[in-house]
Order: sequence, then structure tokens, then C-alpha cells
Amino acid sequence: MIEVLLTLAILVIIGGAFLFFFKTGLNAQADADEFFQALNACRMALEELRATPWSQLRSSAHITLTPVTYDLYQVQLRYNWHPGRKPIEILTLRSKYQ
Amino acid sequence: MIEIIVALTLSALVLTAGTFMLSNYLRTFKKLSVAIERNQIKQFVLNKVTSDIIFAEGINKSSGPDLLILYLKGDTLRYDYFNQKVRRRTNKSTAYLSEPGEINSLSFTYPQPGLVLIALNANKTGAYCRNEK
Repeated sequence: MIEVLLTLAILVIIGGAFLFFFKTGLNAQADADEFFQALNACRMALEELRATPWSQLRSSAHITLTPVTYDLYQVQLRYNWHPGRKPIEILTLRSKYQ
Repeated sequence: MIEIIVALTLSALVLTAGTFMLSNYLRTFKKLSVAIERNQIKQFVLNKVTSDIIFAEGINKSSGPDLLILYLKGDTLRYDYFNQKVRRRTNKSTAYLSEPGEINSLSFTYPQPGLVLIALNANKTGAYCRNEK
């Protein structure tokens, strides 16, 4: 009887560990999907900035513009895509000249 | 006799648990493979559309939410969602970038001249036509 109980206990522990691994894999995939959506949103924000005329450029919730010279801005994009995860940060430049 | 019964019971338990774990593993693997494949296809389609917009020489005024028409290297390029697939047409050829069921929707908006926002399933991105003449 004790052998059966012991075997059951071991199997439950191993099975639980395996189920945890499967769940981790599924969660990682969901995270990857969310990250991919966030990256696309960042790309959209930067492309919108690219399409904005120089005189109308303004900092926004995710984008900080810092003048480097009279015809050049440093663009810093910071996007919190998931609480508890490192935000996406992109640094680039935007020139006055197209 | 009792040892045989115990051994048989233990073997049955181990086999049952093994089968359960294997079936779970296979189900998870299949689910993950499909999800990852769809993600890669979405990424591929979005990269293709955005790269074509970025390098295009212009966006046709007849473009709408369901159809994007671009001028690229002397050719006219059309993107739309047809028969549950993303279709890319040039003057000489037609290519489908996805299979039915992989992508559920594709639409375009034009908030500013030269700027195209693309919505593909839940993903939204944009591209600015830099070479517009």
C-alpha cells in the first residue's frame, strides 16, 4: 500500500512540474505576442512622428523630444508594454530636413 | 503473488501518468506551434507592407480601408484582404502572403498625407511614404 502511495506522490510532483513547464511555455508565447504588438505600436508612433511637419513636433506621453541643434531633435520613445516588464526604449534622431 | 499485484499497479500508475503527460505535452506543443507560426506570418506580412510603403513613390488617391494602392519602381502595387488571405498584386503578378484562417482582418487608414496606418488582427502599425513625389 505504501508503495502505491509513494508512487502516486512522486507522479503528482513530476506531473505538476511538467504542467508548470507547459503553462510557462504558453505564458511566454502570450508575452511574445504582446511584445510584438507593443513593438508595432512603437513603430507606428515613430512613423507618425516622421510624417509630422517640423514646426508641429511636440513631446507626447510616450515620446520625449530634446533639441540637439536648431535643426535636430533627439527622440526618446518609452513604452510600458506590460506591468513588471522592462519598458521598450528607443532612441533616435529627427532632422528638420526630409 | 502480492508482489506481482503491487508491481502491476505501480506499472499501471506510471504508464497512465506518462500517457497523460505525453498527451499534454503534444497538445501544448501543437498549440504553441500554431500560435508562433501565426505570429511569424503576421510579422512577415506587416514587414512586407510597411517596407513597400516606405519605399513607394506614392500612394494612389483611390486607396481606401480595404485596398492600398502604391506606386513602386514604375509598377502599381495593390494590397487587400481577399478570400481570407492577404493578397499582394503587381501589374504582372499576384501573390498571397497568408493562408486562409491565419489572418482575420486587414485594413488601412490615412491620417496624414503619406502616412498609412495598418491594422492586422489586433496589431496596429504604421509606415510613412518617404519617397512620395
